[in-house]
Amino acid sequence: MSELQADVISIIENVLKMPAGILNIDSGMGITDGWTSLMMMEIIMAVENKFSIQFQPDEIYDMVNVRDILLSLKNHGVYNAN
Amino acid sequence: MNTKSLVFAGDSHTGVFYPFYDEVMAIYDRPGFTIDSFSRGQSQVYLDFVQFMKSLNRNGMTLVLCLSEVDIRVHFWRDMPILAARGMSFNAFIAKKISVFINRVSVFANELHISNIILWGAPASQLTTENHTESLPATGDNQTRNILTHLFNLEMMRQISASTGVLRFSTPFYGMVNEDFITNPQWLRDGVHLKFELRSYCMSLLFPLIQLQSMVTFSSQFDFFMSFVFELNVLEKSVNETGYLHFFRTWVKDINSSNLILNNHYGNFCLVEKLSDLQGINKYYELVLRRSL
Repeated sequence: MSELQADVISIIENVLKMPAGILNIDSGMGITDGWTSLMMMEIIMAVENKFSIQFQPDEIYDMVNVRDILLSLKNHGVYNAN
Repeated sequence: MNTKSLVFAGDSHTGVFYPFYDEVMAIYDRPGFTIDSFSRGQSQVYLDFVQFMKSLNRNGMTLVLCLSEVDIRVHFWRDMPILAARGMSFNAFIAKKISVFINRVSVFANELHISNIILWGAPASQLTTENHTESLPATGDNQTRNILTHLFNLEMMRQISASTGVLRFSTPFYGMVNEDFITNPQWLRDGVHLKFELRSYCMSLLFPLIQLQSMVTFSSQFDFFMSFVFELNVLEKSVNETGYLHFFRTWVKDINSSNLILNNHYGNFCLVEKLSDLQGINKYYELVLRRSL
């Protein structure tokens, strides 16, 4: 697991109030317990705050899991954890 | 007409068709069965539904998918203002939502060889002052939610009318709201779901679609609403009037009680997750949708 992936997962664990060790790159909305569409928007905003970026509406619309978040971060030039 | 070829599916909003239970093939009622069940990949809710449908004789079947509050109003009003503040118009959001849904349902229809699927639109929303629950939440006030439903209906009609696929659309919505999009509660049996007595009216809207005579049907009151234009507004509300409602989410100005925030030309708003979070505050300023006058 890359540092960036670990960082993103840590953010999500914090938003969802989950213990460590449950989430993986395929965890996401509708698949992971407690990861509802309401939580998805909170996760997105927490990620934006962490990496000081703002996702475009189309990016937000299409995000459903950890993999999508990581891909969007890379599209914004974020390859490493802060 | 052979009603034994009919299957109704959705959440509790399939309920208006319960009196027909012995006259149709099946009524599939599952909590959380929504647009997102189709649009967000292979969720367990979607997979369970596919398994159920595969157990039925689908030759000559008409499937009626019943949409609901959660489909249109809870999610839409949570996300739309945030995305609008970032440049995605309300119409663009709704159009994309419907396009993805229609495509996914069309794939489902093709895979299961179902030749006729009717999308049954959500009824008008429960009134703002009704009790909301964890399974029956609301986001936005009654008029905002109903205007969203209307915008959804317009776009759905447009996309289905322009398609050559197996999907058709009807809705009981028009006639349930007045010119300000306030719900007439006389249509609802529990403040949320259509009265059972309306089943014949609902079936009269569905018959032309079941018999493949039309792509879209709606009541004659639709013509009255067609040309309305809408705008965001900020209204002063009194908690003494609405009550400290649980499970009622709404965008409130200059309050900081959750992680969902947006900034638009009206100011800074936070998505308050329940009005009961505003204990100690009498007046609040709410972001709403209203008709442009």
